[in-house]
Amino acid sequence: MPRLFTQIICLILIALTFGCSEKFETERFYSMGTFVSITLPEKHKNLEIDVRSKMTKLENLVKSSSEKANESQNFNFTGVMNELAEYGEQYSEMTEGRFSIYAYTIAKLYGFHEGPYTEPSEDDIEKAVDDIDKMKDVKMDMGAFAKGYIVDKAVELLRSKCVDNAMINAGGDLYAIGIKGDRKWRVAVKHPDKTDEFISIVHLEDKALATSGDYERFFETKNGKRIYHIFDATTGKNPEFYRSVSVIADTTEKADALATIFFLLPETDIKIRCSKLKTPVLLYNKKDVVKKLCGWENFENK
Amino acid sequence: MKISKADFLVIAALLIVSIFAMTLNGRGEKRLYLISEDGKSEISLKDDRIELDDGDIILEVTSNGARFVKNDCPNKICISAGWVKDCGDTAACVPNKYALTMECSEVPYDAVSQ
Repeated sequence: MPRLFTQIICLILIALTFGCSEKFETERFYSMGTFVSITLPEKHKNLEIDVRSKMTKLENLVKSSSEKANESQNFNFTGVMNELAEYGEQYSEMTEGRFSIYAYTIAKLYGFHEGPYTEPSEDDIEKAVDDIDKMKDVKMDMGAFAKGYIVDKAVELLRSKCVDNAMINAGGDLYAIGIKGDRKWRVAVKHPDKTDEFISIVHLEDKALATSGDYERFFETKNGKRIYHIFDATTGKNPEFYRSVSVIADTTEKADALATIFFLLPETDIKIRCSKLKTPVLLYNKKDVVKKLCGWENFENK
Repeated sequence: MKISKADFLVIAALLIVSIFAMTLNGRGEKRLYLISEDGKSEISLKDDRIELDDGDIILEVTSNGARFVKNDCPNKICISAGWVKDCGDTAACVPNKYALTMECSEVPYDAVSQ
């Protein structure tokens, strides 16, 4: 009997010592206009190269197809691009045209994405809005959800190679596969202004999270007005509701798209949509107030 | 049911070993990395000034961390990010593809969404 007791204690202690010993390694590289980090169990770390090449291949496909379409003004897509264009159509309907993959026509006037930045005249903005309405001389950009879509494809690749636990983070658009050791993946959402502060820390397992903010890609006009990269396709202007919007969803594509889409909508409209779609939302509004909708706080508890 | 002296010793030894192993996991050593298009390279934490791209980008390094002091990117986000000194801190300059990051074996979170 004492021997059995000792053996049980030993087993517990051994489990304590080595139980959570699955080691993870993180690799970072530059892709899709941002830094991508991939965290994999040590035993699967060689898959990083496969993920990287898959993401780069898709990135190049989206980039070259978009350029070609904008040049030729032929927006009849096939394959991956058709899939993305269909998502874009759905999101445009969901927002009564405020979201549009053709809002790049407007963003381009301001100098996005690469600069030099400038504030266009009201006439030019009106013309761009009108052009989008008539689908004349438009420029298309899938940037709002292509990154999320590509992360999902990388997740599919890892799952097909029997990776049960991993994380892929493409500049804040991320997917958490399984868990990390003995706990869920912990993800911090950055404060729009304070570099060392977070507005929320959530625990994710087989979920995606994406954030859109006005504090990453922006410029300031001569009058000190901040202009950022998200535009309402019906007004040609930046929406004036939030500083930061984060969304938790089942796919990174959806989280990525909704973080941009919700940026364009007042809070009451977000509430209706997030409860229908079952996607928790974290808002940081222009009055510096943090709002948690559709069960966000459930993810803050372990 | 009685625990013998030998049992007690074994339990005590294992307890000490497991507690030691747990504290080791938690402490974690800090490692500073510079990421660029060429890949990832470790920067040793000692007082230094590193010039990249013919002086367009300058890093200030101390024993605690590092920061971008000069960068020719338009928004200067990497400079306003300040010191990269704690586990998980990152300063990234996307236009010219440079980032500083502090990695530790144990961090309070696994990823940052921004």
